[in-house]
Amino acid sequence: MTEPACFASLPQELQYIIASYLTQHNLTYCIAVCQCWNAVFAPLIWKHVEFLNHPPPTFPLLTSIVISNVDDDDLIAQLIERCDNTNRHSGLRRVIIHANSDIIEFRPKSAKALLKHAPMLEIVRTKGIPHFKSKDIHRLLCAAPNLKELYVVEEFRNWDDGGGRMYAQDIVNDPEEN
Amino acid sequence: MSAHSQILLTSSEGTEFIIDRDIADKSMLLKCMLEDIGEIGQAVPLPNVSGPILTKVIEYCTHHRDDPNFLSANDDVAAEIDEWDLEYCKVDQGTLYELILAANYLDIKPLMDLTCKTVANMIKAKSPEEIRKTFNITNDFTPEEEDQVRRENGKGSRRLS
Repeated sequence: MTEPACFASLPQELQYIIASYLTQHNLTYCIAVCQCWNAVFAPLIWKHVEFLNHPPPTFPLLTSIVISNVDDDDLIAQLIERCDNTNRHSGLRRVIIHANSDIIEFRPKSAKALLKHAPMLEIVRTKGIPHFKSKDIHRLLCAAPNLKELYVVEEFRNWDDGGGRMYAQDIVNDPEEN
Repeated sequence: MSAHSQILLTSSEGTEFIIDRDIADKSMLLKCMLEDIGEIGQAVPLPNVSGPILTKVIEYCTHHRDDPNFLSANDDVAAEIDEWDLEYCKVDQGTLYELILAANYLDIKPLMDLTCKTVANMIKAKSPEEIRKTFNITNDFTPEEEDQVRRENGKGSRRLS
C-alpha cells in the first residue's frame, strides 16, 4: 500500500465521511483551497441548492451532472429537467447520483426526467437509490443507444450494520471513480 | 473458545502481533471472519496495515476494551471528543490518514468516527488560507478562478436563480 501523503489521496467515500462533519459554511471555504479540494467538495455544496425563480432556467451547456447528498427526489428530478436537451450539442452525457441515505425514492418523476436525456446518455451511475427499479433501468437501456456504462448499486447500508465494507468494496470495483 | 483466547495478526511488512480475542472483536472484519471460519491457529494477514499503524489501532482497541458503549459512543456528531481520544489523535497527518484507512479496512466504526472527526476539526473555523497552511497545500487557482469561486460562494451558499 502506498502511503497517503495528503487528504486528496484518500478514497472519495472517506473524504465524504469527513465532509459530513463539516457545515455548509466550512464547505464553501474548502472549495476555495485548491483545484483538488474544489473537485472533492464542490459536489457536496449541492446539498443546499435553492430554487428562486419560476419557471426554472435551464442549463444549456451542461453535459455532466453529479448530485450528492440530496435526499429530496423532487429536487433531483428538477435538476435533471433543467438541463437542456433540445439540440444535438446539449443534453446530459453523464449522470452520477450519490444518495447519502436510504430514504430516497427514485420515483417515476425522476426516472422520466432521466429518460428524456436517454439518447445522449453515456454514463449513468447511481448509488443508494433503492427504488430505481429494474423496469426503469430496462426502459432507460432501450432508449439509450450510446450508453457505455450503467452502474447501479441499489442497496445502501449504514456503517452501523457492518455494510460499510461492502460499500467500500463497490468503490474499489468502480473503474471510473476518482 | 474462552473469551481470552488469542489471535495472531501479521502486518504488511510481516511483523506478528498477538492480541486477545476480545480486542480483535472490536474490528468487525476480524470478528465476522473469526465467527465464520473459527480460530484456525494461523496468523491472519493484514496486507493493508503497516506495523506502526496496527500498533496504534491495537492501542485504541485496548483502551476501549471494556467500553460498554463502544459501538454507539461516537454516534452523536456534536459530542465532544474525550481527553484520551484527543491525545490519541495527536499524530502527524500521514499517520492520521493511515489510521482512517486502517479503521475503514478493519471496520472499526468508533475509530473511523474519531479520526474523521479529527480531520474535520482541522478544517473547521479556518479560512481557505489557513486550511492551506494546515494541510500544506499550494494554491493552484489562477486569480480569475479564485475570483470566480469567491463570487459564486461568497454568501455561503450557491443560489440558482
